[in-house]
Amino acid sequence: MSKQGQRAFAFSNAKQLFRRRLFSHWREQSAIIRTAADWTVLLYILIPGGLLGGRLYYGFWNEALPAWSVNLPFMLIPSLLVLLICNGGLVLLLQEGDLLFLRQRQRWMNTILFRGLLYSLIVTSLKFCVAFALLLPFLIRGFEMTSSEVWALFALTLACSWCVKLLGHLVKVQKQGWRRWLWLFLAISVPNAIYFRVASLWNDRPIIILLSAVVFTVVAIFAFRWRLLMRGTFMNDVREDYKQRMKIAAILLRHVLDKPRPTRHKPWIFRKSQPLLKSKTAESRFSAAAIKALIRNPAHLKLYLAFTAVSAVAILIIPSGFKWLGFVVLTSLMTFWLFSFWSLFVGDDYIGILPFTKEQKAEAGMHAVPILLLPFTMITSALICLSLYGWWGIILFVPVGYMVGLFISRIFGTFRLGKD
Amino acid sequence: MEKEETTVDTESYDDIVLDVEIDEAGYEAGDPCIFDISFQVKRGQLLGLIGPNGAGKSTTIKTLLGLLKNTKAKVSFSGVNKSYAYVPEQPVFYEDLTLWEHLDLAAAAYGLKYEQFEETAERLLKQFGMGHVRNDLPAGFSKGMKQKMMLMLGFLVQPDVYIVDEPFIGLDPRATKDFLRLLEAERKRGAGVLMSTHVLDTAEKICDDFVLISGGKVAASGTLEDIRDYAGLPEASLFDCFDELT
Repeated sequence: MSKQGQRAFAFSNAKQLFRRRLFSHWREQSAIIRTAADWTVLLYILIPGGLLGGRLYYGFWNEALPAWSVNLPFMLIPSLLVLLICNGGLVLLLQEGDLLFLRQRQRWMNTILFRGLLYSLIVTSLKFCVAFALLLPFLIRGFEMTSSEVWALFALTLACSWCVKLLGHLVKVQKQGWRRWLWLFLAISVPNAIYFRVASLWNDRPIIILLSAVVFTVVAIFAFRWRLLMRGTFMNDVREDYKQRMKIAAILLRHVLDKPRPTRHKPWIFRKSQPLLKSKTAESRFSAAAIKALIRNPAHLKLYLAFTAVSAVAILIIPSGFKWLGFVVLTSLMTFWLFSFWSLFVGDDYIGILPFTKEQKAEAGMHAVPILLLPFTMITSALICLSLYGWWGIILFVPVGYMVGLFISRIFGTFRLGKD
Repeated sequence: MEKEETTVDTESYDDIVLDVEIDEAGYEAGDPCIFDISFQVKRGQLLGLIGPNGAGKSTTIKTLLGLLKNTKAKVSFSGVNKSYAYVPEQPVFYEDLTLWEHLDLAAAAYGLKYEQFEETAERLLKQFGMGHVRNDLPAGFSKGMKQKMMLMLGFLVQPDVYIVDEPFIGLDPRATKDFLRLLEAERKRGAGVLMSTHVLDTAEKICDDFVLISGGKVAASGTLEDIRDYAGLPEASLFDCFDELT
């Protein structure tokens, strides 16, 4: 029918709308995956990988199991399954635009919610079907489980995963802040702990496994009904839905883009905006702002601490003759990164609208970077001095760390900021 | 790139603090969006830059701030310090610095003494009702609070000219009143104000003169009386004149 000739609504009921959203969701996910796995990847990696995997799987059934698998403890299987249970969430296929009209049609909303929940649980079930299919040769041939025991474990795993997904979702859309993490910990850890304990009884008391599966299913049914009856969580539903839908995209882009930061209202450190440096000159205040900005930024601070930790380990394992060389190289790397951070800070939109002169920026950079570098050089020089010179190292490490930090940052500053 | 000239006069003649002569300006070379726009802002004067969406108000502001490459314009800032403060429509801030630290950094950049900064910042925090969030991060502020922060940054440095883009968007009546009171005080001090706005009823009450831009050109300029004459609507409101001329 042409558009002009259309005489009916595009979606006369919620089921049609849900179907449309489901197809659109699949298209969206496949488009995201195709950005990473195009035909070239498919041809050269996925197809040969699939064929090789298929051959291996055939071997697990028809040939002797690999030697490494013979001595594996059974509890490794539930451990792997627990990881899978904890992974993923629910997709309800709700959209922000539903706020405009659809939310007034509660029956439509309920239909979409119901089908979204059902769809998510079916996807979860399919995921475990695949996992069990892969584990089956080891369960049957390696651990010599009977088919009823495998079915019982499968039922338990499935029921537990439904339970965890639904309880986790209920917490995510209702709780905020530390309460969210506390409840989420309980919603995930308690069912998984029960699952883990019950799964270990597969050989002795298989009936317990089935009974536990029934209990998990009952809890899941209650959680399902509770979710359908829940009101006032629309914005959180949409937010969680978006997170789940963008999960693959987030994985693909995690090395390319920074993770969006949650909105924070208060800084975690220097909470009273107290001056950091004694001097009140413009350059000092500029430097202090940069130091605070680095420490308050979780990604930057994590990188700083991670590099310091790795450097500390590296310093300890480097042979004595090369420790000082390693120290200089690692300090140079850290200085390079700190000057890159400085450039990023100075290039920010807000700093851009302030009339700091080029000289002031260079002066402030030459002030901020050595201060930021000092904790790193102090820790690493302490490790070197103590490991090489024993108690004498206590006297040495402070002046050495200070001088080397200052010297290297001055050299880098000359090149990066044109300041000497 | 054609020609751009943004200068600071070494001597202030008359009372002019901002002199703008834009022959043409645009975002792409060879495709100008605004033409023949000229106006002056005098000491203590509040000049309203008004016009419909897409008329060229923002392009005019970007041109006089020197943010566009493809311009043929002459912009001169005069006054005692030859300084200006730009209050953008969209708030600009650094995510990891608190409100107080934003003010501190701006004061440092404009060369304010710390004691003077502390006194002025405390007064502004009180005037804008932002004292309770002085140590909070602006990312968590509401839209109106972010706008207030931008206004406070502008008022902090007491420049010769204020260039304010849509200041009333997101402000509650209390904040609007406070903003207008502060603006009045600054005008009495001798600062000139160029204000781009859509809020015509407020503009009609507070602006001394207007530049009405339509289709990238000046459709009318002068006092409200002059605008009425252009529109041929004596006694009409600015809103009606706007409707007639755009």
